[in-house]
Amino acid sequence: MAWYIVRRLLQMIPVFLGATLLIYGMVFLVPGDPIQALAGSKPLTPAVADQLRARYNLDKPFLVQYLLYLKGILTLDFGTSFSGRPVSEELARAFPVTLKLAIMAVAIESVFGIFFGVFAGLRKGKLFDSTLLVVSLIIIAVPIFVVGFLAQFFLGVKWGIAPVTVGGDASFGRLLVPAIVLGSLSFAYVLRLTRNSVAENKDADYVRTATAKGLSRRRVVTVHILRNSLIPVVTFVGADLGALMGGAIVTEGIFNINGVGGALYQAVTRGEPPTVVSFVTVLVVIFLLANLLVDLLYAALDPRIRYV
Amino acid sequence: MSEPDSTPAPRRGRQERFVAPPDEVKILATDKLDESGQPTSIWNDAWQNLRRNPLFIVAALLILFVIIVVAFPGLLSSQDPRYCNGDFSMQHAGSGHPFGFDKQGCDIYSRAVFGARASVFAGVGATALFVLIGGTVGALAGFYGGLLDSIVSRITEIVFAIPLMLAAIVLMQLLDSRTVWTVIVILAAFTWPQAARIARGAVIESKNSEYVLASEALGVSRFRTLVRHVLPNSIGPLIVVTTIWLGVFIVTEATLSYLGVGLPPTEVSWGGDIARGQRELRSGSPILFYPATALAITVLSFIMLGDAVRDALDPKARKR
Amino acid sequence: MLRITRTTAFAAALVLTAGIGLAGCSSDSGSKSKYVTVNGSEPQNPLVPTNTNENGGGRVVDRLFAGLKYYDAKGDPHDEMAESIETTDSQNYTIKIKPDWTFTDGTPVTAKSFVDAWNYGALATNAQLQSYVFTLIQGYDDVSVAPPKAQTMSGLKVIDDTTFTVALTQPSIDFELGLGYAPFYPLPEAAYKDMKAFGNNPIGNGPYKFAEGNAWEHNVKLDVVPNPDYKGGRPAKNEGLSFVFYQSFDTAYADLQADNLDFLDTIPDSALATFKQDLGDRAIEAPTAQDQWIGIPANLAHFAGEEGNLRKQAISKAINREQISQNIFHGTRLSAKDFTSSSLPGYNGNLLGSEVLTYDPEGAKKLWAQADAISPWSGQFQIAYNSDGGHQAWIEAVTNSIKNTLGIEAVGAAYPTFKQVRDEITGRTIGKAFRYGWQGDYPSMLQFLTPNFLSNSPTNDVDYKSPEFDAKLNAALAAKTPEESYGLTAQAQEVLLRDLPAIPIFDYIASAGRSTNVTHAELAWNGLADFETLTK
Repeated sequence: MAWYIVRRLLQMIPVFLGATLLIYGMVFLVPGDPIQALAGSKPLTPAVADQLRARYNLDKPFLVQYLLYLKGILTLDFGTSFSGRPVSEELARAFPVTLKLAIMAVAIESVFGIFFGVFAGLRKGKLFDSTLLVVSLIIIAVPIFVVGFLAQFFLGVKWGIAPVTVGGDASFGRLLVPAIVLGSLSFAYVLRLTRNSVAENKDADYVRTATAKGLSRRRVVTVHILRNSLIPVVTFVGADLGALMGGAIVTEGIFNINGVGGALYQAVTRGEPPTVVSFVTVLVVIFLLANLLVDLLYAALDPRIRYV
Repeated sequence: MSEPDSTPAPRRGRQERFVAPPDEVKILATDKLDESGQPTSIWNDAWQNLRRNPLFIVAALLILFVIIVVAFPGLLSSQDPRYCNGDFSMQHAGSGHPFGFDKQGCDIYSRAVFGARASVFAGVGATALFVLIGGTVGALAGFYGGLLDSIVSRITEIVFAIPLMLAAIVLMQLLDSRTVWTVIVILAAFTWPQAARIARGAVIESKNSEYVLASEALGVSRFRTLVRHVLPNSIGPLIVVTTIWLGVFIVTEATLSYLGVGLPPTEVSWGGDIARGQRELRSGSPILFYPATALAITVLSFIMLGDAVRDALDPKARKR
Repeated sequence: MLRITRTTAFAAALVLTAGIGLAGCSSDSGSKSKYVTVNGSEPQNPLVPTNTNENGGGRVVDRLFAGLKYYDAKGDPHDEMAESIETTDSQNYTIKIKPDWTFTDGTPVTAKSFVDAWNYGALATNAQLQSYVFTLIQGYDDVSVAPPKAQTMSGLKVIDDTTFTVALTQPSIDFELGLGYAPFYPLPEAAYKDMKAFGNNPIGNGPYKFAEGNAWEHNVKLDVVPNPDYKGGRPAKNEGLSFVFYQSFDTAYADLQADNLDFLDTIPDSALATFKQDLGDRAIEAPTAQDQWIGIPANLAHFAGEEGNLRKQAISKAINREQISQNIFHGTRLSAKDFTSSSLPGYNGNLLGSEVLTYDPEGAKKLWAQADAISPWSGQFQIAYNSDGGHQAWIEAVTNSIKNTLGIEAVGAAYPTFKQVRDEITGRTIGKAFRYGWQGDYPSMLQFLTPNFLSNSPTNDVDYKSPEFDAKLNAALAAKTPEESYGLTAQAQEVLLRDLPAIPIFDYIASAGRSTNVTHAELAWNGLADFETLTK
């Protein structure tokens, strides 16, 4: 298995290059001169603009810019943002916060999603199942900016039972409501996935065999049905960790969380390729590691799968 | 799963591991039984099953209604949704204007009716593309494994690793004109790995099942096995995911509008109107309610349809 | 070959759980700050006055430094470090500063502190964003090119420790008034050793200084405390300020409602309908020097010459500013009456020709028909705007108003970012009307007109060329007294009202709010808090 993991790590190299090139190119191509934008609608002395362009390598052709950036990365130098601070500082500040938020969201969505999903699946077509269908539907149908706003408005402002914003204090308590908001859509997703998987598996032959063997229902459900139903769910949840980290732009904005989403959004609108790509690079690495973990979990869930 | 082995294990070896002991001849018997009868396709079976499912009928009727609204919005509202007059700003419901007016003085009812087109179109279009690309790529990769799987996996990882919102924000700035089509392409282009992963996982799962091994043992070609046995048996998870994604896409379009990179604001869409309505929530205005409800009903009907179709296609669920 | 067991899976789950557990460990800081918390945003650059051109950094820089002048809440200028500023021709100035002022590192503030700081700001190789403010000083042309022909501007001369002279290339009454603007602040000797380090921990002479310890928590907050050595006219009346950085005003408003934020200078659009109810007597409103205009490029089809003039007037008269302000902004915008702002000294709301800015549907239709007689209208009237700035609603209302009055197709053209729309405006490739605006750097009407409409201004985005206007504006700049200048400015504006190079739409009323902890809070002329007088 060690060899397997090494191979997987090696495979990350092309993915890493592909993703960074793609995103660097996309940000590079965005129209609008980022240096002129720094001046807003005020004038900018041409010589000053040229100096700034040279400082951020913006005066060089695309591939040169990209290669200079890659060269920096190899020496763990992520470049400087327009604010003059090293991008690595921003990475170190933003990632722990968002990682915490995303892990909380994933934990919440999987625990609740799987729990309710199993019950809905076992009682497929019954009232409980239908109620959950409606609930998950509402969650899917209401955009996250509405959910976030309502949660903040009612829980935070009106009733005062939860912190309104996170700000500089990214503690568990303060991140709880944002994590629930962030995980809500995926909760609905996990719920549906689990429910359908369970409903499918509960009539499978091996389950009947297990029941016939006289195993307790509890054991049949947890060991046999659940274990087999979790494969698609695990795939989803693993991939979701990465997606949530990069996709928390709206949630982070509403709750004033100083994480990856806000930093990325700002860097994109300002047109700072090095900052955008550095954040995406780290996202890619996290995403790939999460994937590896998912694949290893696969093997644990499905004994037929082996890695050599 | 088949993270590609450098030298793929010979199939014979795998069969030895998983095929039932030779004294059990049941599989062969079952297959024989199938082969002797009138060959009915699984899709045919599914249709027979669907026709009798009330869930399907309700969903189909709702979807039919949505399609009519999308195709002929003029049947339900004669008001021009783009005619907005500040004189009517925030006026309450009156005759001919059952939901009243929004801040700009636009008729909320006609916007809810006409907004269906762009939203449903974006959702359905993105979903179709999502399934088409993701499903095909994922199924092929999962079934054939090896180098193909390896390459596909790398590509999906590259695309997947870039967050959808980020990609959308960047790409929407790149494009000169934003239309429903650009929204469709961007939504699908950065989400299809989701479908690919699900399809791949499901295909791998059913590829190891007894009926597939049996089919192969009977000498059925690999591609035929994929189409006849593996796909129908792995399509369940993909359909569930698809129907949910349809809703997600429609809603994501709203979020893009909220971030200022969705459909152009001149386009009437539920997403855009939900984003507008959100801004009025604080003052307790119910504007948000109308497009959101229209959207919810549409999403509900598609999910119900998905459920019904999945049941119909799943031979295991059909046994009951 | 190794089989992954269920134990491995559980181990993985355990790691995840542990991560979450750790996440829960950090403490909840409960204690209420004695500082007055005000909204802000992460400064985009280190806090060097000549490189700070956005108000996230600007609001901090103005606290940390003292210039020759300062502006009170109403926008009236007062001498801060200046003992006297003398000129006979509005072109050559002799400036005397008050002695005995020190920077927070103990070094004295001298005439050299000013001159060196200005030279630093203007030198092209230092790449300071605000270098253009020194344009009028003699010798600027030599230092503002790369490579520079000189290291210092010839128009600046240090006479003695407290005296220096400034020579301009042309007379400008506005120069003296602008001396309270941030780029004109002095810098201590220590700054030049490492400007970046200085910007991260500035040493100033203003009413505040950085708080002890971790004053600037990037992306989170920045704390300043009163500077006991400050000797000027705007001493701090609170125990310190904490600028809390927000990503949106909506979020900040939620914190204000929950009393977590003491002062918010901008009520978000979504709360304009209800903020007076929500906050009661804690809601604060004051006119502010900020404008929104619709610019019409000089080369836009159908908008040149006589036809263009008629069409511009028709469009201006077709916009129901009052109603839009009520519907969209709940009265927090004033209908524009000129090209400056009602909060500025010398403002005149009854200029000759200002009726072109009043809603008059009949008149608008008539003018449009006259224009059609010259050359029939075809196509769409598009207004470009950036959708990242909260402009969508009012632009839509404006286009609806034009559409309904003139019966033409008028639409907003949304650009995702300010950067993009700006790029097309400066590149002259926009090909449609566009939204733009101006916010005063210092309280002066001329500062609204000079950069935007003077023929040779680099930021004359609409390419307005009028010798008549240039002459009148230059006369206003060369005036001997403010009163004389106001009269000439009015004449210049009347030319603008006739030619309408841009269509003024709104003048802002800043709407703000304070928490229940704050006993005194006031808005200043620029729409920000009057920070020094906030009390808790």
